Amino acid sequence: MTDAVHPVAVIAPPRSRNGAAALLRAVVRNRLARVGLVIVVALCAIAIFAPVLAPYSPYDQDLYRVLAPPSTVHWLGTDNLGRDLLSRLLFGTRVSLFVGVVSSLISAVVGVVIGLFSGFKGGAVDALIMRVTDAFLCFPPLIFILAMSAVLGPGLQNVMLSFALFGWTIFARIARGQVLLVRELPFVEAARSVGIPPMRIMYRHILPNIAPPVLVAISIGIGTAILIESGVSFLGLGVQPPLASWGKELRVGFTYLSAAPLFSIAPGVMISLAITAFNFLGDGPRDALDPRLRGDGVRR
Amino acid sequence: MNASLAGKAGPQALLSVRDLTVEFAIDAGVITAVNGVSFDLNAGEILAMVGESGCGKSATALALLRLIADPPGRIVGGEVRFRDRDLLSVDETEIRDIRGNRIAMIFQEPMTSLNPVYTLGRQLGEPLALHKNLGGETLLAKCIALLESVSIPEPQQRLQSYPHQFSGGMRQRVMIAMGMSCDPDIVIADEPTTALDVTIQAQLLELLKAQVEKRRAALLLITHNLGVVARYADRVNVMYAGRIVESAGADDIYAAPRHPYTIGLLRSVPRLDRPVSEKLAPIEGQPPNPLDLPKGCPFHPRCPFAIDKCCAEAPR
Repeated sequence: MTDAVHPVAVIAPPRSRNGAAALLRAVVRNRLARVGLVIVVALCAIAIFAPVLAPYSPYDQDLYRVLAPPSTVHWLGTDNLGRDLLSRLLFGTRVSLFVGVVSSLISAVVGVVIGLFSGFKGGAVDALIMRVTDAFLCFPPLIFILAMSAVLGPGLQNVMLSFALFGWTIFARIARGQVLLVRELPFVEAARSVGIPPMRIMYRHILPNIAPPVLVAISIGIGTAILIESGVSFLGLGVQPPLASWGKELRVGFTYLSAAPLFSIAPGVMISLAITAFNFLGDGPRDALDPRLRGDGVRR
Repeated sequence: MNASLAGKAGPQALLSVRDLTVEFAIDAGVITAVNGVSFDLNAGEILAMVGESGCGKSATALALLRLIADPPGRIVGGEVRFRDRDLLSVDETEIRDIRGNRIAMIFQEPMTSLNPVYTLGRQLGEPLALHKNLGGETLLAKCIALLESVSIPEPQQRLQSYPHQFSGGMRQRVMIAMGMSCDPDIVIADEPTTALDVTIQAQLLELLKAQVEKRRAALLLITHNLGVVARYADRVNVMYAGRIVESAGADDIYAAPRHPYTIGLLRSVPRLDRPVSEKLAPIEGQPPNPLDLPKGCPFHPRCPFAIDKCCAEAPR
């Protein structure tokens, strides 16, 4: 759960002690966000307590029970090496969530800083930064990450690194667009007119006002990162055996689709569930950061 | 016509503006929004700037504190003398120290002049924290006193409220309180009541006047409302097409307007001392295209008294 709310702290400088509480309240008030929150919390719990929850070690092979159908012994059956699929999925949650959250956060921080600077500076600096962003955006994400992985070598860290290298462009675009909008608002002029230095205006007056769309993008970005990790692992460049991730399971299970359908369907369901949950959750903070929808303070 | 008259107020002027020129570069060309404006503002007086939309009143006000958005705007020349310093040439730190501290501004749009994500207390206290190094209890007490002085009830609770929880009139009260917070020498109010309804306008102007008088601050009141000028201002500058065309005492301008544009302005507003049946006389034509100002006096195409000479040279 903290993982889900944490991005707010990174993007919006803490306004007050009860800011986080207000945020949480708003998430809880929105029905879809609540569903998302429950699923995300559940996924985080699974990730944390995987060793306790999993009935078997994800690495123990039972070559006599290869591709076993679901049974009371193996709830979701076994994989091609006779490992318990449920255990592998539970442990895979760790990898997938970690990759999703970390790479999305890194790209958000990098992207927002660049976008903020670019939009605030304007002129030639802005034009240059935006052309670079455009250049990055020309690549289809998967191709870019595959190319990066090919250069850096396979492995989880490299997937995250290449996702961050690619993902910042979207955040930069969003942040810059919002800055262009916000910096023209009269309160920015009013802030200048009382002598507040530009840097302070940027992080204190503009940054919090561009946060809502960025938060939504972070939440959706986590979903995308999970999907990309799955895709890259599916293609064999991400997680390396014997480590489990949802994408990796999907990839291996896919080959046995007719013999053991659950082998690929179950990880597929996990991926969809996680992405949907993060997308739902994205709507909550958006409302929470919109002060007109925020219910605290004196209202009459 | 009388631009030079303004320049004779003498050396005691608090703020003296000479030949201020501001240009805006747009795709179609360069607009000279403020064209060699000169005037003086004396300590404790209320000086009104009147003129129609786009005549350069707001640009003049913003230029005084170098707040013109650059690009597209640019202050190309002139001098703004305040306390032996030319505000147009001091460095960034120095001008920032003057903004909000010695010269405060109150804007037109109370609905959007406050940052929606912060409580009132956070914003109201910002100039004080910045310029007077106040903090903690002192700052809180000062903010409460400020809100009290602009007649906002329950100031202590109100400091916790967000801007959207206030009406437009209340927000403008807050903006006035914020403008007054550092006891400035000069307050520039850029059409402070335009966005508010009429009953609130009068209240706020009274408040503004009372506040500047209490602090013996000078007020530069930008408006297009001649009624406001008559009631509140000591002196008036009438602007047209980026120039000050007439400058006079507020009473004189009603009794004996001298520039044809001022005469036109006065005849185009209803007056209580005239019969209701009397028709208002609009100023014919449109304000000139700022990209292509008429040669000579910019007002001549609309001027009932224009003679051949008007097309050739601007009056001095």
